[in-house]
Amino acid sequence: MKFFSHTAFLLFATIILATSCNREGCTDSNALNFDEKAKKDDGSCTYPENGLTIPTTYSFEDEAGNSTVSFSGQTQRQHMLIELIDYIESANTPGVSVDAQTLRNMYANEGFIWADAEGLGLNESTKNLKGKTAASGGSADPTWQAYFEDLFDQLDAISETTIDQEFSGGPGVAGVVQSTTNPDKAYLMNAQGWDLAEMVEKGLMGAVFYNQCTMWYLSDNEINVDNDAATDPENGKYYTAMEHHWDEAYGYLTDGINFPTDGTDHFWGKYALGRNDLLELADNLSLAFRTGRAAIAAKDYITRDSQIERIQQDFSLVSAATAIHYLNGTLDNLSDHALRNHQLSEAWAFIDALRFGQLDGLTVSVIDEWLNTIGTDFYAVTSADLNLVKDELAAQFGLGSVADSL
Amino acid sequence: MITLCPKRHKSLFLFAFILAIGLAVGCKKKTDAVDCNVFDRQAYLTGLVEHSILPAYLDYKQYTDSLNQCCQSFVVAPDLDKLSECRSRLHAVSLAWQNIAMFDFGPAEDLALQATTNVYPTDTALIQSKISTSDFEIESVSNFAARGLPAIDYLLHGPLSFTDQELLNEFTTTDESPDRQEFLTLLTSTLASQAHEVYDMWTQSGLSFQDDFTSNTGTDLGSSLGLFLNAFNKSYETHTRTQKVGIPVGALTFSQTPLPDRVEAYFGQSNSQDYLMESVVAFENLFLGQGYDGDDYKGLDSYLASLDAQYNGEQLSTEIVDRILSVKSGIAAITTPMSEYVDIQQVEAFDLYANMQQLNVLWKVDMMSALGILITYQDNDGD
Repeated sequence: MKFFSHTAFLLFATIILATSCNREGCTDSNALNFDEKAKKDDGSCTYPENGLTIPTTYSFEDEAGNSTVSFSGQTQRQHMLIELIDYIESANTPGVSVDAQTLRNMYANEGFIWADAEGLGLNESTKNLKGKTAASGGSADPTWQAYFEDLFDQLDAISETTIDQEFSGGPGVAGVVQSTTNPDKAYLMNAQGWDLAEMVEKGLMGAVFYNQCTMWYLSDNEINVDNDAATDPENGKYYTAMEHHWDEAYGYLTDGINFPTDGTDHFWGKYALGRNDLLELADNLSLAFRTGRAAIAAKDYITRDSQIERIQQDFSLVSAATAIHYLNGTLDNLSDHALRNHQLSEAWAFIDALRFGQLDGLTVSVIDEWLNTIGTDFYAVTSADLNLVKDELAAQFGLGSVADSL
Repeated sequence: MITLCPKRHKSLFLFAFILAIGLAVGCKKKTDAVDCNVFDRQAYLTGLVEHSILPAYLDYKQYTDSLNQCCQSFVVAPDLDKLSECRSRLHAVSLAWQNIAMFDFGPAEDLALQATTNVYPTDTALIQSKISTSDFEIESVSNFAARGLPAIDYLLHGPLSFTDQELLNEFTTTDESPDRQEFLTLLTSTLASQAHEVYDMWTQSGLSFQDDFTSNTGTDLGSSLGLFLNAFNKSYETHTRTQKVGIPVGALTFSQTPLPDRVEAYFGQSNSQDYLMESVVAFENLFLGQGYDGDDYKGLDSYLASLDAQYNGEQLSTEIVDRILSVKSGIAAITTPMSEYVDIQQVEAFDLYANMQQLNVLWKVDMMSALGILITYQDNDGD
């Protein structure tokens, strides 16, 4: 009897342990989400729509085998912002000052000699960030341009006053603020604790890259253009106007064709990857862009439009989830002025960025209200207010269950 | 699966387990290693809550009440006896704090308990100016350096140059004495009310965090084990290793100059190393499943053993236990106030820090990867 029960137990335990280890997933190799390690199909397979062939990387060719993909202008603008931010961040070292006119020249790409370490042709380029700032209405918004140029002026004025080795910033006092828990970290902040480098970087990510991608190139006007003739095959432009606009939207997400394996070093590609573990946002955006591009080649505009919706939705999720990520970082570092304000500046700018994309039920006044609740003086914030904004943001975007893990 | 492993079937179960692992070895490789083990996570979480978290919070709550009562009566008629009594109650609160500091998730996180309770160095100039201007606002983050245990430490011990009588005079004979009294009791009553609030959020029916916590038994990002172990690692790394030791010994600055005034409880002087030891022992107890209330449960060491987690050919849990021992013996060798120790015995202090750093890596890297739990608390975006 005893032997029998032990045997039964042993058998039972063995079966349970063994079966619990059979990985379930999509086992059809024709599916988009084929999982080669899956042993048992769980019905989760998804397939290309209408028989479209979706390449595994963002690579598309015409019938003659010429690549039709080009987004060099977007990559150039990303690298202009990289150099702009590198220059601004030099002022995080006390005693180093930055010049407002230089910053304006970089912003407008006027009379500035770029380092252009990767040889992207920045110095020959006519592209610039200023002309595309909040420009989804057709022309750049002077109010937002002035907002960024005011940040440049603040950077200039504050960095002028900093002195080598002196971390003089703090509540009500502009200057470089050093972390009390990690002395390696120090940031130039205005008297309200705004980390101006973050405000510029994340601000332009929203006002230029996100806005251009989701609200300009994917808008009805810009996407419903010619899709029959190559634009200029003699000069290597084998793409149609529609294909090109789609590529330009893609180029504001990432500069890599094998995203999210590559193209995750900076800006939206980087933050989409940062939210990928929990929300698969980088994977989803990559798939939506590839699917929509394949649909354009096949002139399947229903599929294209469904992918535009997915892109707009997932892109706004990247911004919202990243804002929550930095609100968590803020709450984790409440008593450390430097780390708190640094992360709160990022959270602020990612919340602010939402206004530049598809609102989808959200309103600009709600975004303003969240920013109001946080308050512009980052030394006067309270954990209750930060938690309130975090909860509302999470509820709005359906991120409640993951908000604490972001 | 978990209910199938009562202790009396240990040997048979082991046999079944080995057999099952043999059968399942094909899938053990990557994602689901943790699902193939037999550690009872539900029991661990329940033990953690019932024997460690709740008893420690209860104690902390009672000690903060006792400190607050003492200070309330001290300010009514300040004298040296009451001052001495309040100091020893502050000491008791500070020791209890070390046993809850790492539970900085859920209720404690919602209330920003860490940031409002133990931020040091305290800003003595800010405290002074708030008293001088009768400014009793302590809720905004810019005032966090003027509240909590370090601020109370300053108020009850005073600048190092003060005699006890001089300190007493500050509470009795100056124009600012009434404001100083009010500020002290504001801090102690806030400390106590926060302690009550956290305890209530864990236990009171209707808002009980406890049920959510013990029922969320996975190892994924939002799981209770994920929350707890992220808080555990972050607290050990930031508050115990870096704040209690690394910064004062000068290990985090380029010049490596000791910063004696950055020790915990600087004004109480002789107490810093007690808090350091209490903190390390608290982490040890959580690791070994030794309850704050004296009852044991299966700890993280058993969890690692059930996974056969190895470190250089040894059991990882053994390596961790050994490392804790050497950290503890390093702390036990501190015989002068911590602020003198970091100055005079810098070699030993750096050794201690290095040992604490090793322990940090064992917990944060080796243990977490063995358990299959992601560290989420650092700024993964790297800027």
